Amino acid sequence: MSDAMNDVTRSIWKESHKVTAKLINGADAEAIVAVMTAANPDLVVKDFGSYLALENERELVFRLADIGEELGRKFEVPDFLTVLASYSGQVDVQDDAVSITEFASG
Amino acid sequence: MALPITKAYDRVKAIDWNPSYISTDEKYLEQSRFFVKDLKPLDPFKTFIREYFKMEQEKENRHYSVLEASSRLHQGHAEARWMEGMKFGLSNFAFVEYAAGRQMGRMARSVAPVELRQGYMMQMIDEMRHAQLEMNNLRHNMRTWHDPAGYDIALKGAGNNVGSGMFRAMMEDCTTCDPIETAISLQVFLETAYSNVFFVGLSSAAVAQGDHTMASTFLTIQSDEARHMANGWATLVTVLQDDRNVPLVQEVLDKWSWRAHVSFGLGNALFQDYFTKNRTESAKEASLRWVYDEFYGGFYQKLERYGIRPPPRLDEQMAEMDDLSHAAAVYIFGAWPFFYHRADPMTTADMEWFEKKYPGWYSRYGWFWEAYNKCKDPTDKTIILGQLGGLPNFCEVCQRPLIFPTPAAHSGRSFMHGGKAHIVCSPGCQDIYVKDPQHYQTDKGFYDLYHGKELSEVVDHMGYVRDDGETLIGQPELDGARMWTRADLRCCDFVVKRPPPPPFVDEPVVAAAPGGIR
Ligand SMILES: [Fe+2]
Ligand SMILES: [Fe+2]
Repeated sequence: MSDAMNDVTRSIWKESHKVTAKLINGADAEAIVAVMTAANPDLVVKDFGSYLALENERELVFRLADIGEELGRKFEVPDFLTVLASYSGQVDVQDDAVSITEFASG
Repeated sequence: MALPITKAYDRVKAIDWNPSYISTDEKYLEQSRFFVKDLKPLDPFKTFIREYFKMEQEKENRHYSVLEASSRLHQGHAEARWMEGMKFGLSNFAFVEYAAGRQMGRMARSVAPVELRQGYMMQMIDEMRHAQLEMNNLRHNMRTWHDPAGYDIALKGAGNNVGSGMFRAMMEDCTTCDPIETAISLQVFLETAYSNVFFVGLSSAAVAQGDHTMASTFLTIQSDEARHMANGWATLVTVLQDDRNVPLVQEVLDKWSWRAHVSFGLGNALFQDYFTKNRTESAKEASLRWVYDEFYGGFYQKLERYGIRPPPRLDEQMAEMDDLSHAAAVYIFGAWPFFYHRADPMTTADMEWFEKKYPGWYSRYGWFWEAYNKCKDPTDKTIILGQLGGLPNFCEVCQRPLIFPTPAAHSGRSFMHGGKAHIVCSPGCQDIYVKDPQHYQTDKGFYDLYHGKELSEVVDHMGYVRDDGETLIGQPELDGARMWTRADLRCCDFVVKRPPPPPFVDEPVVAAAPGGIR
């Protein structure tokens, strides 16, 4: 961290390990939250009415088969991306999951 | 899909070829000043065109069924302050999205790696979808809102009102800069830092105002932005693989940090604080969470390992959040005849809320609302614009009026460059101007067109008059005893005058950036 930084800048220029996903509220989002809450004991879910914000330390891994099972139908990457309104962290689409992790240390 | 995504993705990528019938120079019409040869790009979303369209169709189906149900069930009971404010607010966006689509077409052509190009091309189609979604929402509101005047001219209005120049200038700046700068300005600053506050943050405000169709428009748009944010990150970390790009990236980050704050950041703040009646969170709270905590803290800070420093005016930007929406409101409410919505002035309840969220608010802005509330009735023949001494100057870089950080002590300045006097809103915009002056050569501005003209003539020329040819579209309150007309404006005896320039400064601005821009 640069020494020339003033206090205000310093106050936000800090290491954060939080990653988030914002889901368009609805039946799909509720099923995703149910699956994610079961899999991540420290998950924080905030309800903003039109969207749900999921926050976790370091990573959020959305396993599509588990979400599909909760919904009782096939649930694939495009289905997930249909309700993912936004996120913070680094996204990666894999064959059976979508993950959001903190930006890889370089 | 038969193959797993990762395998199929590699196979599709291998289909890319170099055409033999056109030279590289002919193919890539313009060159970036960034070093992009031989870099290994990322494409985190690995989206295929077939899946892409399937997904977008599903989004469209979900969204348009909301619009359809809303028309059918006459869900027209949203807050009037919001519905009127969105005549101006939403009118700006179709242009912005369309410009973003043009930018992606240009980037797909001029930034070579296939992984990035694929993402840009889908984004180009996304942006066309967004422009259409917003135009459809304007049309929906025109059909369902009890006063359609303003919604009917929204796209034209966005082209000539005295506020939208901020958004037009912002988009034209990212359309005409270096193609890699386009990625950083649009995808990193506008889409990662700021569009979240608007499309996601403000969607819950829209719901609180009873406007579910707008919330649906916002969220279906932002679900595409998720990919755009990844395009931005992918482009950024790709170019940062080459050390020679670090100073060039820094320069762009320094510029756009300020540039986005004074345009999109300002719009977000105004809409959140002054177009909402049922309060959720303040613009300052929303910005601190989305822009300063999540973006600067959670995203930008991660670039430090590449040798990137924080932008030089971060503290100034954050400090401005105490005034940004309020100063913007003094302007947009003060200049109401130059807009096409009914303004809903702040009530005692609003003022109490502001005082709670922005301690000291009343001592800084109470005077304006006291004065405003005395000038609403046309029979009094007093217009708030006259009380304020007319419209201010506009910044030649960002097109903000010169009333920031506060109308009482704004940072506007004049300076000489290339043998001519120029006006900017702030030292931040002066830095931007001096580094790239030809980018900000102005065409005819508002005062070139209207200096010396009487107010009712100007409003008529701008097209902000209702079908009777006499009643104004813009009104200073939601439901006055009677509406203002052109005749009422004439009684106020107001002539548009170019204000004197702000004080000249001749201190040197920041030294030329490392890497040398253009
Ligand atoms: Fe867009
Ligand atoms: Fe400016």
